[in-house]
Amino acid sequence: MIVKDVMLTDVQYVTRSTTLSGLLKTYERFHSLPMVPVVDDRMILVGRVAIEDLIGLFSPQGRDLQRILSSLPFVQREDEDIFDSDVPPEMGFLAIVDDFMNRNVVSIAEDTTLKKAYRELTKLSLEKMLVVNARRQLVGMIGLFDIIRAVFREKGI
Amino acid sequence: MNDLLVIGLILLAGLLSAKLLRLLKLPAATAYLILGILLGKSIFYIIPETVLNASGPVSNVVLGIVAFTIGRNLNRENFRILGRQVMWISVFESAGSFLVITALFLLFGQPMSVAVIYGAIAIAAAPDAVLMIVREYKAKGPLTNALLGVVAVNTAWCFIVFSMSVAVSKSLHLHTADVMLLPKVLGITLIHIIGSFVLGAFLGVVIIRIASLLNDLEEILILTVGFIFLAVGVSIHFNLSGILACMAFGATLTNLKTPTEHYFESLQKIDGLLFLIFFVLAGANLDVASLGKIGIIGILYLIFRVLGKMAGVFIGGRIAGAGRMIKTYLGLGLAPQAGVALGCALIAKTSFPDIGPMILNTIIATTVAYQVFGLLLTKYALYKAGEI
Repeated sequence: MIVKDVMLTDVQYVTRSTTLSGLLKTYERFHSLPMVPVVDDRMILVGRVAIEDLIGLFSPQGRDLQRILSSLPFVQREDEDIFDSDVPPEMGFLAIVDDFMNRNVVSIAEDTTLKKAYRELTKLSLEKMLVVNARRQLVGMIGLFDIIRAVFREKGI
Repeated sequence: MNDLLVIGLILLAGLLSAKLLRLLKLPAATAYLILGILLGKSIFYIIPETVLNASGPVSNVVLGIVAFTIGRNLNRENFRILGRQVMWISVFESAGSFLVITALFLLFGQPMSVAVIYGAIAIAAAPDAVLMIVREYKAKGPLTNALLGVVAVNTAWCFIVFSMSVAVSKSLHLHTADVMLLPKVLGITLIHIIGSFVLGAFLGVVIIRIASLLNDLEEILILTVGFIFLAVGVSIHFNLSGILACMAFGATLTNLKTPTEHYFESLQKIDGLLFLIFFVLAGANLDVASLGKIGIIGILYLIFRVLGKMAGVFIGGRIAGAGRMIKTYLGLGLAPQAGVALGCALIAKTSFPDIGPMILNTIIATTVAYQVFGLLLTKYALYKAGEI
């Protein structure tokens, strides 16, 4: 079996120009942020938004600089104080996804075998991964549970 | 006291001292360093020679990990984020402190081989200390952003210049009676630098191939640490620069199209522990009795390093069209000096047994001073710019 056979195809996504308010509205029914893919107008996967990208918006230095700094040696990793920070209301429509998304997005090809996909997910300590076709267009999402379920099904359970 | 008991004591006392100094708003590195001085041969002499002798290998490996992590940030995306202004200022502040300190030591009658080592170490800033002040006082504004950007790239410049300086120093040591000195020194330095980069890039490509056969993060951690040891070990064997090889190794990984974040993230499980041991051992190397000999030159190093940075920032800022506050105060903000300088000094100690101990003593003593006054200068710079 390959990834295409078991992946979820109905994936909610945002574009580079989606505002912060738009993103929050899109995902308002979720109580934990799912994988948020960012695509361009040709559906090509260009990034993703994770919970740490949203937390980074509370940093006065901005998410990107904060990410570089926290990767530096000897620097103590501290959580951003989201309750005591000055975030202006205008940020809702001034900040767009392109400003705070992570461009370093891990994806897997739709024709990858399930065995290889499982190994990639565990190796990278990921719960799920975005799936792309040969043109790098977003076509779905696959998680560890999808693979485990498929294996159970194959064994007649 | 046996060695294992001493190491256990170092770890627990390190943890406790970091928590205590946190109450005084000082970084963990300062706590470890002071603890090392107290436990070292000059004061309580709890750390025996057998453990102290491990300082050289420990600093080589820790600096290898540090350099590998620094390499992670050397990609086009990060250069875009940091921007042209930060890049110009970082180049000139590094050049400023290098040139001023090298000239200072030459003026005091030190040979070129010693002066360039001091000059290169003087480039090192302390991102941890600067970031701590910024977080503590919730600083924000153009100076804060420029300062954080500059400290983010400063270590890469320090490593490059330090590696070149070590190569130059070694060549000067070996060929002092040679009439063809300059071309020989330049040739050896060039081979040293290119060889280190090639080694790092080669390891980056090879590790990806091997990692495709592995299954989890623990195996990736073992593989990454193994390759860092390999980079440092091969560099020592072929007289290359371990830190440059590790930096090139990290930079190669970050610029490949395959996912490589997990190589760097796996190291975060062990780096805190290694950094603690590294700082304590660095502090334990301080020979308090020799502080008197450092005297005036140490004080001048403290002052002129900051002046060199201020002059460099002013010139770099002018070229990049930075604002007045940045040109005037960013150099002061770069005053703290910590782990990178200590690591380079420990490498200098092992590379040059004759001059190394003096360099290490000067850098430990000035680091302790900077950990107090440097933090105050950073705070003052942000205050004067109206950002705290």
